[in-house]
Amino acid sequence: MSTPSAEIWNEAELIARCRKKDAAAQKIVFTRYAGEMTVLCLRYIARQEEAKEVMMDGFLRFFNNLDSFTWRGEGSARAWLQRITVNQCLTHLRRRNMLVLTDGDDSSYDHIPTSDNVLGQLTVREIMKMIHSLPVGYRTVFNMYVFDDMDHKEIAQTLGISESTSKSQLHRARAILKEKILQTS
Amino acid sequence: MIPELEREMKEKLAAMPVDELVPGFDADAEWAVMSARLHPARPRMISLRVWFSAAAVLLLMAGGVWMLQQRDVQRMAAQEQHTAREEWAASFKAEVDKEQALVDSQKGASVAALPDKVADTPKERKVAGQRTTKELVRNGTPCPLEISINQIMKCPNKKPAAISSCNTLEPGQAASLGYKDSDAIASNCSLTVKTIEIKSIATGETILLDENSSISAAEVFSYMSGEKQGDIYAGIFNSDCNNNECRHNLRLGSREGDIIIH
Repeated sequence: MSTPSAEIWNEAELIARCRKKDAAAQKIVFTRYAGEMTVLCLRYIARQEEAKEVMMDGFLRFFNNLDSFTWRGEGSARAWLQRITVNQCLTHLRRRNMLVLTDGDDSSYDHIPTSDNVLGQLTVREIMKMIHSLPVGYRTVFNMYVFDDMDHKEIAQTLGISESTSKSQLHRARAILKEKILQTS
Repeated sequence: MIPELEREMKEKLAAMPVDELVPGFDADAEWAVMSARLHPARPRMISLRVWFSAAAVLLLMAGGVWMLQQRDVQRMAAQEQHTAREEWAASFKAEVDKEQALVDSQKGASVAALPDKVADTPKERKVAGQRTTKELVRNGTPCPLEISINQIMKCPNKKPAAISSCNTLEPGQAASLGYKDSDAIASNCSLTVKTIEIKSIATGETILLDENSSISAAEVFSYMSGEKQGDIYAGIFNSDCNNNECRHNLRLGSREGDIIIH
């Protein structure tokens, strides 16, 4: 059987082949999304080796559970892989007892001023460093809300907290980041 | 302001190549690790047929080895039996040679080896070979004696067999007399002593003991074999070794330990 290049295969075809344990298709999916999922893990987990390991666990779970996945158009497999990887990151943080989330008053963070185009002056590495400087609870909610497109209801369900706790964690994360950005700029 | 800031942050991170955060990140190398986890080497499945074949071959080999071992054991047992027989024959010969040497040294006479004298027929030789546990009988007379013990063996559905065993005893010589031992015959056979002849070799004079003699052959034999102990009158010689007229009562006695003819 000839193996077409990664570009020719669309997501639906790749997933169909991956369901049949086709190693070539699995490799294409992996090499296509491995970098992106590694960056995702690095937002939640600062240590590179741990982040890579969690990324691997996410892919393993993805390939082994494809039978329960329903393809809903281009990008749905990538979104499912992203959700699985986020869950793997959360599981990792829970196992290490790093995910501690507490309620608190967040009103004081609403009126912190920011200047225009402050991020333009920062490198990606500096942005990532700022995210890593957040307490794990704040960082997790911030990542889920800002980067992984989850609303507070979803975050609350996933983390087993109330929506208000999720909101307060996000506000605190934002406040800390703004302060850091202002200091830097 | 916040949503714009976050959107900008998100776009920056999304556009960022992974090796900017993880220098030297190689997706192909990571795939090699991933592939090993996804497709671990499976242990080779062996069918039942192969297992049964292997078991059958092993059983055959074990059986072959066992048979070879059994054959070796039987061969060794036979060899041991043969060796024991040879050792017994050698010790018997040594005993005879020793007795002969003793007689030669006492008399200076050349006398034939005891087994040749004792065994006149193949049957007698067999009897002579079974005498090691028998009582020693010593010739206490001044003349060489020849003692012939004639036995009858009766077995069911067979003709009675006569067994004659002759023994030569030099003066002073002690030896086990050759005769058929009742222990050496089949359990359903019987053995009786018919006659005993005690002959003075020098003169040829013979005392014949049978059922009609004053003392029966069976009675004398019971003393010769050690079954009975004490003294018993066996007969009379009317001449000495030089054939001179001289009456000599022959007796068997076992009061001094060995059975002595005097």
